Amino acid sequence: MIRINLVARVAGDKNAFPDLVNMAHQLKQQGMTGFVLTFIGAIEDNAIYENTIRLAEQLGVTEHIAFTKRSIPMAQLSEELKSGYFLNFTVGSFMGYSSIDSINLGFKTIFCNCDEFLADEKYDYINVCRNLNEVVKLFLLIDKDAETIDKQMMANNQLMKRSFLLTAEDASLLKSLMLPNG
Amino acid sequence: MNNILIISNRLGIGGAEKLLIELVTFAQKNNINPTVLILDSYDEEHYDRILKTQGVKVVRTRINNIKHFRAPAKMMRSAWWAVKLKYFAAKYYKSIHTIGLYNVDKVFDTVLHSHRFFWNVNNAVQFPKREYAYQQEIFGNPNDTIVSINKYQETELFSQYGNAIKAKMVLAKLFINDQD
Repeated sequence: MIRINLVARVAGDKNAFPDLVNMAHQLKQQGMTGFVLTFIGAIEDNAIYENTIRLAEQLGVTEHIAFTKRSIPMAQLSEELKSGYFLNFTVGSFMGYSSIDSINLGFKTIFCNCDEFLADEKYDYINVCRNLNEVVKLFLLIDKDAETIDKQMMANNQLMKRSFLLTAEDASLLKSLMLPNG
Repeated sequence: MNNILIISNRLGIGGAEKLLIELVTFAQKNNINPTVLILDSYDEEHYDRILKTQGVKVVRTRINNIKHFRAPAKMMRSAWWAVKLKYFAAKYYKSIHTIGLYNVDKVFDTVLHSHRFFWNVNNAVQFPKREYAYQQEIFGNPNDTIVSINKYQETELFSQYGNAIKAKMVLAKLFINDQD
């Protein structure tokens, strides 16, 4: 069983839920059936939740979709969820804090650009995808040979982790924002 | 004393809240004393406990619509903070940081200071039609600084708001503090 996790509140400022249900549908159509896509986060917008459930029913992927219905700190997730793949949306090459947390905790992390205007940015790593079609392809590869892909993914994530540490220049800028007059 | 104020609307689990925590931690490491002000929400959330263990003062109050006659103590506290931040903010804080442009309309006319930093934690793609939902007035003060956390935001803001942007712009990358 392949576990795919998305850490996100079900809320109006997150608009990827239908796309991910569609992704589950695509995976199923391509013959991948042993997977569960879990949305980890509180349900803050019931309409979005209901629509997601309805879409999953229409596409016949209800058994592949799950919700935790509450926010859970990533470090406190069940071992079963922790062993899965954590899908994180990026804006072009920009990764937010859930990505950083996921890498820091040593989770198998997959990045997917969510801004179609930025799909032509440079994406160097196998687990950094320009759109959900690439994510589907990646999961199909994982379905065939998880061990090889996992190794590559974990090595890539260690490289990315370093970029979030502050350089002396970054720290100096930050300090100048906090104490503009020195 | 190097005091700064960091303003947001929640301390639940989330990216903007994590940014707030990292800013607080960075400040403390650099002998800067941060106070966190959470607007319009009184319930304790995930990061309250963490801030408490870090010895950070967290204030939960309103500074707009402060009439709250059924809770006079809360109303008095709101009134005090509203006055403090409108008339004496510079006396208490070296700079004021508002996390999320979605919070700026709550502070723009009520928290007055010559060093205000408005942190943009969203991108256009998160909004319908790729259009930020902010009033252009929040970009109109040349003393203010809009802090972007990625290289796309400044371009997005200028393409939508153009010459209405008088505030300064600066890019500060997302970061995690060393675990030392």
